[in-house]
Amino acid sequence: MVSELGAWKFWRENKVCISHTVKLPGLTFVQPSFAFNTIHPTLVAGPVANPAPGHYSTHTWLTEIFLNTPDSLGPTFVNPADWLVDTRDVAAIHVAALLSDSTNGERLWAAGHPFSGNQLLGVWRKAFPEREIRADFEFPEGPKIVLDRSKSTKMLKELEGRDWYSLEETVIANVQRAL
Amino acid sequence: MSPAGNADTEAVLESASTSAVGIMSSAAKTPSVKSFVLTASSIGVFNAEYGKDIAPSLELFNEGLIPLAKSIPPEAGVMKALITCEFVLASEL
Repeated sequence: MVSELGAWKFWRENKVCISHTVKLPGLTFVQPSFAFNTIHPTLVAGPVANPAPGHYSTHTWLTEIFLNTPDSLGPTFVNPADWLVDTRDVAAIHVAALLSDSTNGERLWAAGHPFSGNQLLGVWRKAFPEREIRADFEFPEGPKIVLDRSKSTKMLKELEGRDWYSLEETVIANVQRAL
Repeated sequence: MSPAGNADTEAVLESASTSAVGIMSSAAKTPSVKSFVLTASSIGVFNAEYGKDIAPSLELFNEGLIPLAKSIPPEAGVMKALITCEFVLASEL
């Protein structure tokens, strides 16, 4: 967030001077400055692109919940949980914002679905009935968080011709390497 | 910074800001750059708290995170401090 604040401050203060004066023979014009937008992902899950083993932040913490790894930070991320988003959707919103010629000075959500820790466990129990999944968390019911994603949903649909990945698709894809 | 503050955390916060602005000002000098996208976690807008239903606007900045990150004790380490500031916020409530 600190870097974002710095970036917006720079953007506000330099909007004019970062325009470029273009001089061609017989023609001088000011080229518009670049578009600047920020993208705000919630908890990112889903497949990892890098084939190398390693710790991939929230992806790995979610897998640790799946494996019931002791002393994992995973459960902390769902206590309380807010929204989850597929990494492929996060990527698509970035591409859409980069390519858009009508999006400028916007903060955009990359947010798929509100969820709870026990919802994740339920998806895995259904998808992998042969596996032993940890018992439900005994956390209180999480807060209701409403995010207006209409702008990013529209951008995602225009770019990819599809809606957000479902919670099920995302959390099942998240654990493929741990099977 | 408070006496109990974490100097390493302070340095990370400072470099986060200067590096973003540095990249942006380099882009501003490059006419071929047409579009600039910066990724910033949703925690910079809101954090989930038990008992608080919210509909956070994208006009909000979760500025309470900055003093919180600075208040993490040095022994926690920088990574731990930055990763845990979200949880500290949640668990303080």
